[in-house]
Amino acid sequence: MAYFEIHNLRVTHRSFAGIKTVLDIERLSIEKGETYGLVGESGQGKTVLALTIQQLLRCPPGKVESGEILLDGTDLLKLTPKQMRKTVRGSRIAMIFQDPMSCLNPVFTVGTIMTDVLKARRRDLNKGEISRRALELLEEVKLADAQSIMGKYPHQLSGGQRQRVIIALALACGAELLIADEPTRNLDVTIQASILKLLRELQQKHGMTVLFIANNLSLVSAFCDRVGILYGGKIIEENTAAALVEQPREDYTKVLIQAVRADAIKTDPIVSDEVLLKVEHLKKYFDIHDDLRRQQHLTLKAVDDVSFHLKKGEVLGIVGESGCGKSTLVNTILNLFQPTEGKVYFEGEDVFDSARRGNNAFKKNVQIVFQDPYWSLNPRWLIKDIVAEPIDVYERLGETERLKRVEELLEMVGIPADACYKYPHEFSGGQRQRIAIARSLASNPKLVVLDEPTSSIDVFSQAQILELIKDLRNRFQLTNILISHDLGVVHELANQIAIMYLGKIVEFGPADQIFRRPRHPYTKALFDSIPTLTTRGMEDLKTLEGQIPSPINPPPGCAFHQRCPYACDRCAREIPQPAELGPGHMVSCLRAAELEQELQK
Amino acid sequence: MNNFIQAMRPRIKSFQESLYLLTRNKLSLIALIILILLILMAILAPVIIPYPEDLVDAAHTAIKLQPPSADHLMGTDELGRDIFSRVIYGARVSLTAALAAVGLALIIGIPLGAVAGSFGGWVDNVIMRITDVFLSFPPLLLAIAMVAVLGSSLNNAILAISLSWWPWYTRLIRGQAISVKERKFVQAAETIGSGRMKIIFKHIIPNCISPVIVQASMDIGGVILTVASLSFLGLGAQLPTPEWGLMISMGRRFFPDSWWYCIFPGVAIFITVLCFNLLGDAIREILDPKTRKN
Repeated sequence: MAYFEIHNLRVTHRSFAGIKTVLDIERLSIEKGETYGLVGESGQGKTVLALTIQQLLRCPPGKVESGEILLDGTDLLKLTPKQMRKTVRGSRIAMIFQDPMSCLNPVFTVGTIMTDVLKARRRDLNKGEISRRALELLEEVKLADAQSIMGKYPHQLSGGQRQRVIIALALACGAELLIADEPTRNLDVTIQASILKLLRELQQKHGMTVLFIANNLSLVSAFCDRVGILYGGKIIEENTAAALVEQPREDYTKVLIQAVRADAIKTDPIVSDEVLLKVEHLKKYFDIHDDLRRQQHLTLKAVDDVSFHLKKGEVLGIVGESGCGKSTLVNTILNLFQPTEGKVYFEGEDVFDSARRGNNAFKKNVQIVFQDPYWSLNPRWLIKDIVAEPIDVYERLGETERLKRVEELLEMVGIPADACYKYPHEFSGGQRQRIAIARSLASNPKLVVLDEPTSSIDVFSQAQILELIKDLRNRFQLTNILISHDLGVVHELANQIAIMYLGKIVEFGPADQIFRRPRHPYTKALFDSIPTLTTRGMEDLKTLEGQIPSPINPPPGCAFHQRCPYACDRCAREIPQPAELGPGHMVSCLRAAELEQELQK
Repeated sequence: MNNFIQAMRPRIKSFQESLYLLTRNKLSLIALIILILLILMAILAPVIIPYPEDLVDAAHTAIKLQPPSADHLMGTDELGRDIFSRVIYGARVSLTAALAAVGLALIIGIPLGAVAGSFGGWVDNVIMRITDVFLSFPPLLLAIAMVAVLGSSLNNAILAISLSWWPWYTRLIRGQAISVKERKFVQAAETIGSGRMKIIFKHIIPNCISPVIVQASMDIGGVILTVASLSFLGLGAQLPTPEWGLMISMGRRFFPDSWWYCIFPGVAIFITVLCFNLLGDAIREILDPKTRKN
């Protein structure tokens, strides 16, 4: 018998609409020390399984109908809640949740959280030993300066640091089975890589068994020995990671593989010579007032001297870790934030100047599609009113004409016309994003900004949304700005790429060139930290050490030099200026010329 | 017409779901039924009461202060008037007074709160300091002071109550508006170019109205009590209006010998207030899925 087994587990959920089976697993077995990956999109029952194993599922509305969950021969479903709490949860099974932001109690310091857990689990230790042990654990998860982190509150830590604290908590109880539910979601790719490496290292050191849950197949196949595909609550396919990726049996698995495979075939958009958008030395500084400590004149340089231009029909992909200023850049260009300095020209006209004169032509011509379609559509409005909102602002149409126009727009994005009289909650994430796209097209804009258009919808819809964006772009000769941390998406859509780091564009140029031959060490590091379907094990994954420095107090010289593996003394003193290394290919790196060979390895 | 039917479909569906949630909880179902009966009673009062002439200053001194009997289900008062008739008609007075007062408070409070929350800055400061002034007096005392200035009548009592009540709704809406205005669809409306007032009234208010509706439905009970209190003090409804609070005030002199005079109007207030509070809980459960019990 395997270490961890599930037999004929059936879980149902009861609601107004009736009883629904959310989990129906015939057999799942994990050997001791194995890493088992469970892949599926949102709503397929991944989290329900994680919660059921620990008896944390809310019953009702959930109900375990039948089956057994065996951990080393003990049926977890037969244990009383008290036995579960005393002997299993937190001691033999530990869980890492997907959102490190919200699962640490914000009113306690990290030290208090750690010692509390240790006190409950390790009654044999005295006070001094407990705090020593807590410190050891924080050091074990490679938190630099563990002593000072003990005294900090969760909000003072970055996402990656918080996730490390949570891993330390899981270790604190000496767990044998670790359930990791999308542990790297919402984390940047570079941090993701280092967290995964850490997990792998700890697993080998402590001989833990890991159940790894995620929706990204390339991530799971890189990390796990065996992979199961969860669809509609059932495990529809199971194999070793390599075999599953190479010879998928089910159609659904093929779709998942397709979704993460960087597509080589792509149609280049028709680009004209006309410059549509020109950004000149744009700066956006935020003043930080810290009245309490009387430290005046602190400025956060969110966007620091950015210049580029965009021709009609081009698609610019802006890439960077969170906090690099990519959203602020776009919001400043859209005039949602007051710029500190610099100019933006749209079709030759000064945007900020014409906005001051009350001209809203720019707003009509530039539309944005937001990241999260759950929040960008007003939940109290009918779809027809949502889509028609720009129409109501810019043209006066009669009710019948307005409805006709809405139906046309919906048809363009592949939503049936009877959607008009429904509310946003009746649609899936992908469909909502289509509705948001329809709305963005309603005022016949020339430039559409896509802010992470696929990152909060499931992989199944992602590929379709990308197709739709491409199709619409060619039909309406749209120019796009695409913000994304997902290089696959950028690769597929963009023909120009801007890599941002700490408010500056460090590399800008044609997509093909940058993907084939990155010239900035940061670009290279970003590319190397993303697991692909061919990544096997964690050794192939490169990580970028250190945190992103604070933009309030950026390091002198090149902002990247502290994390750069190629940094020299000069990098700490001189600020690199953008240099043209090829046609339209700008790189801000002092050693760009010397590093050309080095970076191609 | 076809469009209209389509437009109604999602509303019917959500109505069905609300009904399901409401009926699942026995207590709130009972409250709802009693309230529907009360409202029917209030509407049909002129038709169903046995002694319509007793609503005014009729005097049948021969049958004064009689205990409950088959003729007079709740007994008679010191002028021989049928208390049953007056209690039923009292539902009409109390319910309209409460609805009017809460409605007026909502009409004042919601737009002010939404504007304060979405504009921020000095607009917010001015509006919120005014509400702070109102909130620093106990609502009943404030209402008494206002009625004293305006003169005693039921309409003035309603006005005074709503003037002392609106700041609560303003506060509530403002807090909601501050969080709703950060949502992406408000930003989306801004990038689209929608006007500021349109954003406030069409985007922000509909999305922060739920807790206010819940609060208002709970408050109706409290306002009924306040109307009764003012009338009891002689500052609300005037004689011979059959108002519950006023009836208790009159019957006080004959208590406890003629207990029925005070008790029945009191029971009416008690049941109505209780039912509105239970209904408020049920409405909260419908509007806010987080508080749902399983």
